[in-house]
Amino acid sequence: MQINRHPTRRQWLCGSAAAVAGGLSFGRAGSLFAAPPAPAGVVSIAKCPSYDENLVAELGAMFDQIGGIATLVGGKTVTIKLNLTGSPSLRYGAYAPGVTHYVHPKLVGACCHLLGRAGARRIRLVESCWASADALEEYMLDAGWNLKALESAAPLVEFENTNALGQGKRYSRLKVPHGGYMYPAFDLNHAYEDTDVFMTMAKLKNHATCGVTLSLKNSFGTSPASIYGDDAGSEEPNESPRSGRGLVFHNGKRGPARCSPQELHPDTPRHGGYRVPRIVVDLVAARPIDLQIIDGIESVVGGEGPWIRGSKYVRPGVLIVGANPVSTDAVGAAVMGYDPRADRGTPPFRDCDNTMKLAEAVGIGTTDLARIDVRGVSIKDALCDYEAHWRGKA
Amino acid sequence: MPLRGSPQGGGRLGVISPFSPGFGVLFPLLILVFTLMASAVSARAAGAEGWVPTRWTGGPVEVFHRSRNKTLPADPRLRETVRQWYSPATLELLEGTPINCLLVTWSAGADPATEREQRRVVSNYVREAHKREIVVLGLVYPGAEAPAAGRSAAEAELDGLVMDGDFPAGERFGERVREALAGKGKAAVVFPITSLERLWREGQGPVLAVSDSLWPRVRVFSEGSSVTSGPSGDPWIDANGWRVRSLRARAGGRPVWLGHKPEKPGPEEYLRAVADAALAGGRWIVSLDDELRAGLYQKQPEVLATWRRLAAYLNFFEEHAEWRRLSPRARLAIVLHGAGENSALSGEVLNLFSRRHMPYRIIDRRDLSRAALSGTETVVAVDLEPPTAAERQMLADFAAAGGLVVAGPSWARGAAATQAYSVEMAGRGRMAIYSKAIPDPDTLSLDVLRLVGKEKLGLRLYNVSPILSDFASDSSGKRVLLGLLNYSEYPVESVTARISGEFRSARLYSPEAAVSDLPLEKTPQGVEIVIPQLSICAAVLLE
Repeated sequence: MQINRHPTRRQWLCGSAAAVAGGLSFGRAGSLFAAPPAPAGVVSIAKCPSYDENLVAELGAMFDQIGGIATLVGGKTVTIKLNLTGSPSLRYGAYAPGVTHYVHPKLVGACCHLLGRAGARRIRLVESCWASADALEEYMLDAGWNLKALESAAPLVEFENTNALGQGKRYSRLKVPHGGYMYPAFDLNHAYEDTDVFMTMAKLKNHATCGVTLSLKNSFGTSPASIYGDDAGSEEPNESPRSGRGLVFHNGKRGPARCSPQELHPDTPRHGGYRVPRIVVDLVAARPIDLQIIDGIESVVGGEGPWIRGSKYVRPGVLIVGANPVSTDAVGAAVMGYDPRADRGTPPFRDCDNTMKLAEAVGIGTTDLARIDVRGVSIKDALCDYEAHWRGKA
Repeated sequence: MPLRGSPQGGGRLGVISPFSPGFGVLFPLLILVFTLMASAVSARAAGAEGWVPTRWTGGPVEVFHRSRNKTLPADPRLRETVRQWYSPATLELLEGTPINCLLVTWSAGADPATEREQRRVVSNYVREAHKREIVVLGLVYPGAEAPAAGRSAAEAELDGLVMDGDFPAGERFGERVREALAGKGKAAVVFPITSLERLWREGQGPVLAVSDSLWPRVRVFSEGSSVTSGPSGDPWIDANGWRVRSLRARAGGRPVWLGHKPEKPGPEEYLRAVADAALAGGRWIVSLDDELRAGLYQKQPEVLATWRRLAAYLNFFEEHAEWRRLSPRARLAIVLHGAGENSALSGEVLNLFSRRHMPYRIIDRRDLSRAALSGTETVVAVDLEPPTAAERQMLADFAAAGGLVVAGPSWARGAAATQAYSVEMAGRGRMAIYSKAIPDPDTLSLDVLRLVGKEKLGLRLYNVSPILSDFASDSSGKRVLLGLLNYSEYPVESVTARISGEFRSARLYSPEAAVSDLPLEKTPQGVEIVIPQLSICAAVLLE
């Protein structure tokens, strides 16, 4: 699909008509009005008050509710992108990162155990560690994780920091099927290609740039800072990245290393609220997510990590599992008390476009709660009003 | 009088005759008393090295001094505690603690009547303290008259005088005090509590006591639990281990004391203050805030509990006094020219190397030699700018033999580098040459970490963002001590340490828990241990 950079008036009107019909307001993804309805996924919600619960049982029941995982993972390599955003040393006071802005290691362990039990041949835990190309294991140790517990959770558990080349010999170029809002393709660590199943384990929390951080936004961290980081090489990757992706992705003040595909539309707004949601959708389209887990047992409101002033601890006591990232996130946003189809200017999308709707527009999945098959606990019963918590009125 | 607690001090033990009436009945009791006294004497007989100090200020001159400094508390109850402190009952507070050296208020240049009254009160107190084999040093504040302070100290049989504050006459004041003491036939110790920079430069006296050490803590600037992050992303920690280490490098066995005073601390902050100095081999001059002292004076149960906990920490480190004799276990050496123009930056370099958990040992520039470099793989010598010809040759040889030398721009050949530093091969080793004479300490510490490689530091620690460490060993290298201090208010779980070398056992010591064995896991370079939880402080002894 070609990107329509300068829609005609007729196209604009048609696009607007489609937007009215589908609750969309984006034209850049092309002829949306002609696209079939985005697929709806099955999503399971469970109440889970603590990480001391029997997470294997809870998560196992949720996997069963969405149709089971044995067929999906049996005999396969499964890669799980974890949300370990920011340096492990940055914390909310007394809290370990896993109970605030990181996914919790017990949940990761339970997931690995279930995958192993379902016949997964190899489980590879991945994350692009903040400003580092060091081993993911060391990053986890810095977060206070028990590596041995993780390693023993399944027959073969591996770790890879995907912020650079890592254990691969070359980067994998993954194309964006819809042509891309911002990029036509990405060069990623081999782990995102050398896998049969790709899962994401995200956190139920807000995001300063994108409004919410759920399974879609977690894919932002699949991109290596060696190529997309502030200190990426101008021509070639910098295999010792020491920065985030502010200049390349958030602000668009520089491009990725020239060896990799460049931005499609340098004349578009240089604003994170415009850019990051679109880049996230491009990344998700390039590397589809087969299975999503959202950790909302304990989390934070008001931002994605302790560096966001005003963000704070919250205890929603909920887990969400799904097989379509847009549907899963739509349910996640609704559990947070938000309208997953809200437009820019409406909380939580105060100064950004709605990533879920952008993803829906390119056919990844639906945000229409009426079409999503929610199993387990209802959204209403799982509700945790993030805005009220953030404002101290919960 | 022989100096109390000095190597020549004889103590005041009486003679007990086995032929005395009732000896058989009293024998077990006498044995106990004798043992206790002997242990007290042995601590003092070691001289200043065995002194466990506390700032034990009070009396009318203290009221005058603090009134002049505008630090006298407004609460009459607290003021009265300061004034009445030298009641003999306050000596009872020291029972069960290892504190054996009191720093009492002596002179501050108050009016003659106030000074006289202070001398009277303190003289009585000194006699009572001496009965308990406690060393008493008089604190002299700016404004005091040197001859009068010295003469009166001799008459009161004080064991020494300590100059506390900025004395315009500097060391000359101390000399006049010593002259006055000598005029009375006394040779009591005289030393200042002064700035680190001055101690680096002069370093005189039997004790190196620092005035500008910091209250140890994670620094909080904003509301709630927010902490100030440094460039590394870690919370900023005010700590003093590097100060102690830098002074020990030139102390020649003399004790190092830290003189910072509390700022309304919570009970656990006192414990951190004790451990912060002790883990690096020094001692904090125990200083209590006014509220705590008033509570102690009134024997309030909760305050006494805090005091006992503090005493337990002091006891813990005195029971393991041999740890002070261990040397830094490090493959990296920092040559320190603390008396140079850039001493503040030199200090910050030490601070940030500590913050990054890079074990280092300090070589005082005056002690730089081939022997001093033995066992070292990296030398940071940016403080030697420029080096002497002998230093240059020594470091060039070190690099040629396979070492890494990090140095300043005087080593550059040809045009000035456009980058922060350039790396040149030098024989079998490398020279990293900075383009600026004074590299940014944070950048320098990070650069050196990258140049050396984390895996070659000999120690790697994980999950330690609010924790600082001290890494030492005996001369054989077979007994290794890893000290850890958590500066935050919350316990840290699962602290992992990877240590190079072969070890068969790891024992965990803590002031607040029984000794326990830690499982050792072999790694390609050595061993890995996990400390399940670190509340405040712990030490792991590997053998």
